[in-house]
Amino acid sequence: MNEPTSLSRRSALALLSGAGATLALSRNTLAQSSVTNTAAPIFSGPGPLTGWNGLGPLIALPQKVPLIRLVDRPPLYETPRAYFGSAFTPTAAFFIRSNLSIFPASIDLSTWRLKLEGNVNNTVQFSLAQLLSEFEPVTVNAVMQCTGNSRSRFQPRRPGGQWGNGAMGCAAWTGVRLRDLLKKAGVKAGSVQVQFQGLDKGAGAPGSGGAEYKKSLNLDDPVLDRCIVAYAMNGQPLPLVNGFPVRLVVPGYFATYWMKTLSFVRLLTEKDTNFWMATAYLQPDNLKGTTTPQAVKDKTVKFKPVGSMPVRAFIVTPDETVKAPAGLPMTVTGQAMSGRGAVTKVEVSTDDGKTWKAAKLGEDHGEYAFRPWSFAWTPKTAGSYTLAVRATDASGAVQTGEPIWNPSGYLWNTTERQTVVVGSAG
Amino acid sequence: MKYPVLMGLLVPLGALAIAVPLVSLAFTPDTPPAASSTTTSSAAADSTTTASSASSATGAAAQSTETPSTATQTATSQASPAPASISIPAQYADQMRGVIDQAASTAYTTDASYTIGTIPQDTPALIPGQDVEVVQTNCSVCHATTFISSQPPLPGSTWHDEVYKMKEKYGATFISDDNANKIIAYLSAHYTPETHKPGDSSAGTVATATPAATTSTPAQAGAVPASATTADGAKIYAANCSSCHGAAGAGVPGAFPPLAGNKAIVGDDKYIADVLLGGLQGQIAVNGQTYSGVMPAWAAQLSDTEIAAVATHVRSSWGNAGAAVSADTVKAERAAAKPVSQVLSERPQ
Repeated sequence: MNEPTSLSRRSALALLSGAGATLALSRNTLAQSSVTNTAAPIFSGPGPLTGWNGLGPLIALPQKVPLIRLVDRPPLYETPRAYFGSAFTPTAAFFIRSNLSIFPASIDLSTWRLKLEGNVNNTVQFSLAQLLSEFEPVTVNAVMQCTGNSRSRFQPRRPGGQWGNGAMGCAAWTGVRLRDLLKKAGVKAGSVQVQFQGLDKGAGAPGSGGAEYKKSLNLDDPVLDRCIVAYAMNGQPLPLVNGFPVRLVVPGYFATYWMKTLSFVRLLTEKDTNFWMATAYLQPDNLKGTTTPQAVKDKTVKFKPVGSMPVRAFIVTPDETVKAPAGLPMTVTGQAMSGRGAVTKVEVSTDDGKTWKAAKLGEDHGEYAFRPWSFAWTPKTAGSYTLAVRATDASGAVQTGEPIWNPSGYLWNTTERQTVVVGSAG
Repeated sequence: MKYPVLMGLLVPLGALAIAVPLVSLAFTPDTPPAASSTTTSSAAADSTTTASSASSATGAAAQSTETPSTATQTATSQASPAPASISIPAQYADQMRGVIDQAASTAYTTDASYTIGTIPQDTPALIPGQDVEVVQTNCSVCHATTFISSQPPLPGSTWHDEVYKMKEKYGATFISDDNANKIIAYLSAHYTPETHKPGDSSAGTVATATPAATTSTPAQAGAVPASATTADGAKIYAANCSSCHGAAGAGVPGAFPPLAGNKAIVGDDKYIADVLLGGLQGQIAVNGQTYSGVMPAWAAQLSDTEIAAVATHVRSSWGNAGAAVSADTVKAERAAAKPVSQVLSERPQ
């Protein structure tokens, strides 16, 4: 590459050749290559990505701290691992994912309204002021996780956002019950689904998946009873890139339903057949959402829209930057979650899954929130250890080491591992 | 736009990074960095076993095949060659990546308008190759080509399916069959497991460093660069606009409005500048036909001069007879940063 910068950097180095020995040696002594004109790779494969987070530079969007950029337009930004040390993910560090490129950079609350329309007795609309004053505020602690979180682990790899584990976060969401809003509109008989739409748009032809983003839930789905239209997360207004002024919160379900900048709630008399329900966000019709490339090729797989999130546990500390001295007591920590019943047990292995011991569960913030866990561990001798963690939820589901595979890269919940190098304590 | 500024910073930063080791050289009499560096370097060379096993353990963090027996060997070999000094002073290295722009906080007003600044775009260059410009112009209409360069290497058949998914499901109807085939051929030639390997020098892994290095080049791969003073409007149009609005400005009925004979764009020169800068959404009528699509913003991809050039080209082509648009007008409109809703309301009737 012959960009001016590269040249000036090179000549700067050349100027230094007298003192260059120092610099050259200092480069060798650093574990990371530091003076280089080649940026870190932003893709991995064809094997699985092995790091906890996805690849990409750290870049800050308005109202956010620097996050890992997977794609710049539409924005796909992943939360770095260290932010998961807490059961509540900081609002400014919460991941960002838009399906379409054009979303509002400005909202005028004097004209913005949330409309309830379609098969209702009264088409009604509410300003944010009304949502704040005319409804009982409720708060739910819940994990929002991208359906494709951890897609980069799939084998064979699948196209899409190549997330590590950071396309998730847990927040205290405060807002209005969806049921309270539906009551105001009056759901008419014959309604089968409720459709949600925000203000995102794309450059695709009208009517295509690339033009508008719409998601629907069945009216008889019990999840509707716990849905809220949230105007606050962690006691703060939503950042614009996370859906200001309100987004739908669907505790236990994947983020695809958590419509940002929710502006239309529409009662449908027929099942939604728009692209985002009928073609995208489909999983094999089994609990784990898994199948094989061959079965897909043979067209023997039955698909259904994704819904609840399977149980998962994550190791947050230690990470691969740690070199642990033998004999030093450490705490292995992390978070666990499930959209299918509270986390009931977390177990840790320090021998790559051969034996398991119960971890200590931290504070219970509710069924749909992160459940922190910790595990005391003192590696006695130097060596390389592979830690593993698995969680069990109230439905009885236990994570396994068996990989998930489906054509869209959804529902990954294979047990997490972390190799830790333990050195001599001298 | 931020890059020229950054570049100005980087040079002094680089100088600083260079100066620091020199300073530490001069001020650490106990352990001169040169000496300690040498020690470390030779220690690393001597204990090849340590270095390689440690790095394989670290690098392959998730391969998780390290057995306790390997572990013991590592432990033994690590114990033997003790470094000569107790500690080595931190070394400072010139580093371009890792520069992070913090998001600037906006000066908010107390009215009902909630506005954020621009969303940063740092689209890495695609791998050079035949028809790469077809890929850039078509794919960039809906998404940055980072969606290509961040993908794992995929088989040609998968790329084929992806391109047709865009055409048929995502409404990228502006991709002609001919261009679709070119895009698939390009992706199959450069982004497959056989051709695209992490670490390849041609692997297109250049991230933020590349746009930073080219001060007059738009950050987005989809925009065709032009000289800062003599931008070629026709060229910019062909590269960035024609995939939707057509080579002859005829548009696509029902999807993308025509520019030929479009009265709104030949009137007030501020309007076309606003639309190019910030995009347009909402319902408009052109020559009796209604359009409600969305036009992306080009402020981040095209300079004032380039926007002026392409606007002038559009206003004076295909029978249009509008006056030239100056870069100063574009500059003023860029500074005004009008919201899309205002631009729509100011649309000449």
